[in-house]
Amino acid sequence: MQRLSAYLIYLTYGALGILFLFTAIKSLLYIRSSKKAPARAQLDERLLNTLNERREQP
Amino acid sequence: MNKKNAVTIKPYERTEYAYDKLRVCRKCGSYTVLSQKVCPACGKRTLTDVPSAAKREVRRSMQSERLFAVLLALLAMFFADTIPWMAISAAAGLLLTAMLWVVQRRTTEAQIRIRTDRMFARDQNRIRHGMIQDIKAAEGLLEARPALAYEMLREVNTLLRNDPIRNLQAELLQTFVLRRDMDLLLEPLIMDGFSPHLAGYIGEVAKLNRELIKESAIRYCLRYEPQIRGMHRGEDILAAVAGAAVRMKRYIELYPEFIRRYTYKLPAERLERLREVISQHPGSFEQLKLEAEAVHRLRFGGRDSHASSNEGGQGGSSW
Repeated sequence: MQRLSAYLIYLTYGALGILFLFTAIKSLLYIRSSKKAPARAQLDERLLNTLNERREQP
Repeated sequence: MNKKNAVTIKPYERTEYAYDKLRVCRKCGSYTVLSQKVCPACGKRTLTDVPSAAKREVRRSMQSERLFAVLLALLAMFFADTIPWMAISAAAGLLLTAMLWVVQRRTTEAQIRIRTDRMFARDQNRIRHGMIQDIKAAEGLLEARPALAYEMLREVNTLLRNDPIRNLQAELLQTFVLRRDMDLLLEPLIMDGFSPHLAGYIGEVAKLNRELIKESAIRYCLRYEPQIRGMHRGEDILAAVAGAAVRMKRYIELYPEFIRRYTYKLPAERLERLREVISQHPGSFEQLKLEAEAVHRLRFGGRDSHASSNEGGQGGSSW
């Protein structure tokens, strides 16, 4: 029973470890991607370029 | 000449960005620029603007992440065998989830823009298809309700910018009786190729509201000057544009030769304006100055042009 209890505490460590890593990685990704987020004017320009790009006639 | 129709055109709603006009259906995923609420594809009142749809997706994904963090914290608490470890797990879970929530909150705006960009890239064919459906809807109304068809094409032209759509609008505008109080647009209609409809429209706009004649319209007239001259009353169109151009010194500096070519057709008031600008800049526009003076002498002799135009003299014409 004591051995089982010892194993279970490892699951607690594991869950806390995953939680820490998940939060840290997600936060870093959010901060990094936000720095590269396009401005609204860029979004507009990209959409207009995509919609109005000249296509080769078949 | 075709009979022109008196119509009422709704003012154009200007938005900061072109994509602000775009709506996406939450139900069927169709895109449109023609409707604000009801989806033309599925008929449901589920249209929303693209940033709102992106915001919804971002919020949902952020909520899922927070839920995952809470579940991990609960799992850690569940397997903790002592009270202190349960407390540690709860505190760590609370702290880390709160940290994640703060970061998410601070980056939400940027994430919405990223998601909007991805939606545009992912759905580009769907957006194009939606625009084509909008054009077809407008084409269906060309005969029955031309003013509405024009308004619809004007909306589509906000995003889809090509000569056929512009030409269709110019053609429709040429069938309307245009008035000064109408919310007329010119810049978005300037085409790459030549269109007699557009040239005619430019001529009318130059008479009705010369403020709309900007560099792009003048350049268009310069590029297709021979074709416009070959049109019925083509020289009148070019003279009207030249007359509108003299309102700004910048245009006189940029296109002195063009203005010089049509100085002889300028109405008295426009000729006066041209002479006024030239007189303010002695030493500049020599050729233009000579032409303006020659036309003035020829038209008014030694008399004051103001007096002449008040008397209904030559050149004090309809514009």
